[in-house]
Amino acid sequence: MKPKQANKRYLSTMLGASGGYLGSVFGVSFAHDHLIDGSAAGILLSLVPGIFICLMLFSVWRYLKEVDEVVRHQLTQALLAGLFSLLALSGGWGLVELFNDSLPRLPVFFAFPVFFATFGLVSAIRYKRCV
Amino acid sequence: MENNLKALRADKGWSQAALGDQLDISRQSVNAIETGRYDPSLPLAFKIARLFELTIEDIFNDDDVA
Repeated sequence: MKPKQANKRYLSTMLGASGGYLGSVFGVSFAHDHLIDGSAAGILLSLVPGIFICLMLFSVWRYLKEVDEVVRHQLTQALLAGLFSLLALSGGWGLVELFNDSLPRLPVFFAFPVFFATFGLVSAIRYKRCV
Repeated sequence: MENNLKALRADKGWSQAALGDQLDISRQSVNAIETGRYDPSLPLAFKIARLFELTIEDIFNDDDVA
């Protein structure tokens, strides 16, 4: 696959999945607040945003396989930056939480946004350096 | 690692995009190699050398590499 085709496919899948993720998070949140209680249907509905997370991760994995080695190298570094930021935050704050009962607990939900925000930021910076 | 890819490309009158098309890599990737931000793998280095009908040593200089 040509680089431009891979870029186009990656961006369209990622943007679509990101929109779906945001929409489903707000939609599920609204449904839980106004429409449904803690029933099995509510739990099932809560799984919907996870489908879009899987789609985003799949698009990154597919893009990694399709691009040339330079882009793959940059993408891998951005993924590692995202992973390390997540590990630093969860490990660091996790210990603070462990030793201090009075502090608020950081929801696990934030793991994905932290990872992807760092990944996206580092990707953009590295891409800009090569333009 | 230093290289003279930019000069070779200019001699041929190719744009970065044109070179990228022939190597099946993106224009940004050509730029990253030309500016020394990325050292290509051996297969890609061979591909570049074959395209310019030169040896890898004619294009890439590893003098600064220990």
